[in-house]
This record gives sequence, structure tokens and C-alpha cells, in this order.
Amino acid sequence: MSKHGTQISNIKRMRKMKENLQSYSLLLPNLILFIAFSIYPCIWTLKFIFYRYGGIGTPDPKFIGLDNIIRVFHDEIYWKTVRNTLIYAGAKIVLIIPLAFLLALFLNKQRKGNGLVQSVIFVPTIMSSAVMGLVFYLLFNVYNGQINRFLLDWNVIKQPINWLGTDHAMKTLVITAIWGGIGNYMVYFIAGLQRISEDTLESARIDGANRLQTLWYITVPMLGPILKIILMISITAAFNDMSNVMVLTEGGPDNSTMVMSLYGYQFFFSISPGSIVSKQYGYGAAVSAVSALIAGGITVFYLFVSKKLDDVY
Amino acid sequence: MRKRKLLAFLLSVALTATMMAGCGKSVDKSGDTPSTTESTDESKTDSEATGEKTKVVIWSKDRHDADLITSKVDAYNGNNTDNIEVDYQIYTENYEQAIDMAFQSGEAPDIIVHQTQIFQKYVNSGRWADYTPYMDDDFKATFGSVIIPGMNEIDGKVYYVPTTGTTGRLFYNKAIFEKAGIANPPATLEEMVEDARIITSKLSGEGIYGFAANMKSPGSALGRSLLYQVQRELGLSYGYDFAAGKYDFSGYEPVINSWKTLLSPECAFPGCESLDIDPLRTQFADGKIGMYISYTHAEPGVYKNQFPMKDEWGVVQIPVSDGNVKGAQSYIANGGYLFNAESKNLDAAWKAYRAIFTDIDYLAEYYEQGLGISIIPAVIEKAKPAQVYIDNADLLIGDTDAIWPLAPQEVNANAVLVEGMDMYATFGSMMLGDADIKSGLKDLTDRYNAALKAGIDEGTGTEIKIDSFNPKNPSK
Repeated sequence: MSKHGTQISNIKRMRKMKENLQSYSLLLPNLILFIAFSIYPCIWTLKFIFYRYGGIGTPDPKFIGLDNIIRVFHDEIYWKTVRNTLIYAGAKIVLIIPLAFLLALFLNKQRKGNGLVQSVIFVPTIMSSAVMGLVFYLLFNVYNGQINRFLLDWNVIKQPINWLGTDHAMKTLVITAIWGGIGNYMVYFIAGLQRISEDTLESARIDGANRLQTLWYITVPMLGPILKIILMISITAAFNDMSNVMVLTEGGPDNSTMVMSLYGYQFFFSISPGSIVSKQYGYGAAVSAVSALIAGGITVFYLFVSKKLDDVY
Repeated sequence: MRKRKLLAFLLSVALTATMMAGCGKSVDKSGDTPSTTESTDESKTDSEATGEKTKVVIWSKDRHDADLITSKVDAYNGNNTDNIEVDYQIYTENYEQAIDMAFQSGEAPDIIVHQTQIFQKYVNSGRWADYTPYMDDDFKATFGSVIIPGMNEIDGKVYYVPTTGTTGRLFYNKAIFEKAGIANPPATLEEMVEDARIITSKLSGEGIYGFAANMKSPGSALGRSLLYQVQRELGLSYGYDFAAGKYDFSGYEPVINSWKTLLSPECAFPGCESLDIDPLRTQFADGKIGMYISYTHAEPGVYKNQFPMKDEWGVVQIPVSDGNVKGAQSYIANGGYLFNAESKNLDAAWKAYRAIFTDIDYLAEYYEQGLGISIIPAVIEKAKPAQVYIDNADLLIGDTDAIWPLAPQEVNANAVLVEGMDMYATFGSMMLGDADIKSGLKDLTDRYNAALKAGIDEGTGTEIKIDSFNPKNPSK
């Protein structure tokens, strides 16, 4: 290479370095926050998987190797919470996505009052889940809940239903979660619908497609990319839902609504007086890590399967 | 272009710097945030130089007595001649976590209102100051009866002095019992079950049921009821047999069976499995629940102020099988104050504590207002108890109650790390679900003993065995 060529190459490299420096300097604040509040806690948690530790003020952590992980695999309650989480997440996603889509379709039209209805449906999303849990407790409790009162008044049922009892508590939680999250997904769908060109829909109609055909062959496929994101968010959200379970049932009765995240949480923080023998950071960390692997595995599987959605558009 | 790059770089540096500044230790001494130890040092140095007051910071978890205490603190701050200012702060939420963080960051207050878990957690690490160097003859004479080895006196060091006590009793609605044709409250466990059944069968059409428990949290429900019932019924505490030095839950079977019936539709208020204590209280106040078991210190105030009750309620001892009481019932000793051993203001803190919280007039007023049931003889002698205590003598700590030695998991919760469900969750499964009681209790016994052994082997737990232990007189 000639001397001139080397100089040009050096200048290009310098320019590239400057650009990189600028990018990294802009990235730095977020990077520090990310390391401090995401990476460090993860490493901290992972470290305690191998220790027996009861938290601040208790004896120093003691290295116990893989005992905590082995205990997770022998913990029947934990695997019950995994099953509960899959039921909860599955039911929530299967119901909330179509409902949010239908609402979005209905409210996407330029119609008087649609903005207000959208806002009303969105309100639960910004409501504290603790408050939401309490409101739903008042609605669903068996002795003076409004739902039972309404059903009894209308002769739909003869005896009050124990909505928070073993047989129905999970259904009640799913209903609460749908009510709390549907507004959010509706907004995502509306954003997706508004990206679809009116010309495309018009062409389909000119070609003789009826409304249902337009919906099925044009709208749904064109929502593919956003649907992929919505499903991804809904899966991760469903696997991490905890606060409404904590307020409404505390995972009971008899662990019938205990989900993975709440089960792990209670080894770090008591959810109610006497809810657990003692804080067990090491075991809590092991439970959280295994739960994260399960949720992560399902998400990765979903991403693998959903590649087709990307190919549609 | 170069200007834009420079601007971008400066902005990012500024952002990072601002953020890092936020991560630094705050030196702000204003607001509700407790002062740091360093700031206390500073203030002390300053106070010496400028004649400013020495600040004593107290953290409390209680709000029910806040009016009385803050008035006393204000009076003390206005009148004391020791140049001391007491800063009384209430942390009703996450009290334990707040204290953990405060100790971790070296910002713990001078005085902390006693809570059993917090006391036990830090007592072995020397966080609490010893009272004994400060205790004068007058103090010993007044509070000597509540200084109990193993509870607040450990290895000759006294760490707090309780002034009030609470325990569990059965509360019942007199009007409901009368309506159901039941002349007296239950004296035995069998009567309790039968009374609950009668009330539910006769009055459920009117929405009135025999029995309720806040089983949303089995720990909360059974910790205020079954714990005491079993102490009376079996002479065991937390399933621990002090004479044998091991756990034995096998004797719980008849009691759990009775509870299973009590919580079944033939006796129980519907929805007990999702009931919290306050919703339960609202229904009791509304005349929908015949009886339930709860704490003596709380319920009178609840039905007077929080959920005023039209019907008259009564209170009796917790029934046991055939009325055959085999053990005394423990009570929780409250109203103690722990001193931070690392406090730079221990002398001032002791002076303030003595002047405000050990004053007999204050303690009598506390008792008379129904804020707590006194266990201090001088206070009981002086005070005129609130009418509710005169009408319901079983609310008071009496001859049937005693301080129990601490079970291994009370001494050190980390010494008994039980795999699987804890005792209360297990009992809840048996009472509300289909779990087999006999085999479940055997499994629970095995798991607790295995956990205890592991704790002892690891050096975190200690073997507790009391020869000739008498559950009727457990503190001797």
C-alpha cells in the first residue's frame, strides 16, 4: 500500500474512532444505570444461589454448592407454582390478545366518543395493582361481593360463588389481569392498525374482498410485526405478574394461585406475617434463577416460532 | 459538525456526572430522613460549640399510640433541662427492612421500638446496648418483674423492658349466641365446634355464621389462635417439646381435625380462605360472625373506634379439648425500647427514655386509654383500667398466662430452615384442603427436626432442652 493510501486509512480509522467515542459517550449514562440496576443485582442474585444466607443481620453467607438448586428440583410447591404460572399466563394471553384486538378494531374507527372509551379502557393500566387487587376483592368476595349480589339478584345463581376459593381463585386472578392489562394491548393494536395504509384496504375491497376477508387476509397479516412484539410483551408480563396475586390471594388458598415470581419473592420479603419460616436469600435466588430460565426458555421458543410472523410482511 | 460533537460529548459528561452525584451519600439533614451517624457527630460537635440540643432519634412501628406519645414527646422537648430534643418517627410500613437498611448504612436511630424478630436478629451481633449499666434501684424495683432470662435478659445483659402484653382469646357476639339459643360461650373445644355448627345451621339463612378465621394468611390466622390453643392443649410451643428437645407435631391431630370442621361450610363464615383480619372484623362488627380468635390488645379498640359494633361482644379463654388445660398460654411482651449500641448519644437517649417512657403516670395513662394492657405491677396498682378491661377480665394477662422459653426458630430463624411449607401453611392445607392430617403431621415433624439438626450441625442453631420442663409454669 502507498504512503498516501496508509494516510487515508489512518484518517478513516480516526474518524471511525471519533464516531465510536461519541456513540459510547452518549451510551455511557444509560450503560452505568443498566449495570448498576440490572447487571449488578443479577450477578448479586446469582452469587447467592450457592450460599445459605438469611439476609442483613443474619450470620455470614455460607457456601453450600448446588444444594439450593437441588432443593428447587425437589420442591413440590415450586413445581406447583410453575404449573400455576403456565395456567395463569396461558389463560391470560389466550384471552387478552383477541379481546384487545377486537376492542382496537372497534375503537380504531373515527367515531364520536371513541377517544373517551379508549381512555376509560386504558385507565386500569395506570392504576396501582394493589388498589386494583383491593377493588377486585370487594367485587369478588363471597359474603358481600358485588358480583355475587348481581348474579343472585338476576337469579343466575342460587348460592354465592366462592370466587376466591380453591376452585375459582385462579379464574378470578385471570379476569383481574385481563381487566388491568387489556387497555395497554389495545393501544398497541390501534398503533398497528393505524400503520396499515387505507389504500391497501381499499385495493382489497375493489378486488372484491368482503370485511371478514379483508380482516383475515390483509389486516391480520400486516399486523404481524406488532403482534409479535405484543405477544412477546404479554408473555414476559404474564410470567412476572405478582402484585395482584399478592393483594388478592397471597398465593392461596393452599398455594392454588401461587405463581413462580411470588414464590421466589417471599424468600426475600415476607408477604404477610408468618408467611414463611425465615428469609432465605440463597434459596430465593435459586428459585428466581430457575424461574428466569423457564420464562426465558419459553420466550426464546416463542421467538423461534414467531419468525414466521416477520416473514409475512 | 465539530461543535455538535463537542456539545454531545459535554452533554453526556454532564448527564453522567449528574447521575453519579445522585449516587453519593446524602448529607441532607432536613426532612423525614433519619440523620446519619456522621451527621449526629457533626450535630453533637456543633451543639457543644453552639449550645444546640442533642438530638435523640426514635423509630416506632406503632401508630395506635401515636397521639399520646407525640404529646409526651412534645412536652418533654419543651420542658427538659438536659438540652435534649427527641425526634419520634413512625415507620408503619416495612419496619424491619428500614432497620436492616439503617444498620447496613450506619444510619440506625438511637432508640428502636422493640419487635421480636428485629430483636432476635441483631441480639447476637451486639447491635443492642445493655441496659444494666444505666439501671438504678428505682428502675429495678419498678421493672424487675418483667426482666426475664431468655427473653429480654441474655447472659446477664438486659436489652429492653416490656410494659404491655397481648395474647389470644376467643371473642364472641353475645347477641348471636343468644339468638341461637346458646346460654354460655364455649368452655371446651367440643363446645366451640358444636356452638359454631348450631349458629350456622340456625342462622345462616340470615347471613350469620358460627366461626371465622383470617385464613388468607394462615400464619396470621393461626399465629393468633392455634399457637396459643396448642400451648394450652398440649403444652407445646411452635410444635417444640422443650422437655424432649425436639419437634413433635403428632399431638396436633385432634385440634387440626376440630379446626377442619370449624372451617367447613357447616360452621364457617363463607370465604374464610380469602379473608384478611380487617374484613373479618367488619363482618364480626356487623353481626355476621359468631366467634373468632384474636389478640387482646387490638380488638377492644377496633370495635370501639375502627369498626363500631352495635351488638355486645364478650371474650373468654381459648377452649381446649374437654377443658383439660395442660400448659400456660404465652403472651407477647410489648412496649419495649431497644437502644442502638453504636449510638453516640446513649446517655441522652437513656435520659429521654427514662423521662418519657418509664414514667408511671404515662404508663398508667397508656393503660387507662386502652392502648395496651399493662404488665407492670406498679402501673396496674395505680391505674384505673378502662371499663372494657373491668367488664372483660379475660382480656388481661392473668394466672393462665406466662412467658414461654423461645423455641429454636424464635431464637434464630435461620437455624431452622425448613424445606417445603412451614407449619402454618401446612396446617392451612390440612384445614382447607384434602391433605392427610396424620401423615402430614409426621412429615412436618420430620422436616422440622431435620432442619433443626442441620442448623445445630452448621453451628447456627443450639440444642434447647429443659429438664423437668413444666408447661404450666414454663418460665421457671
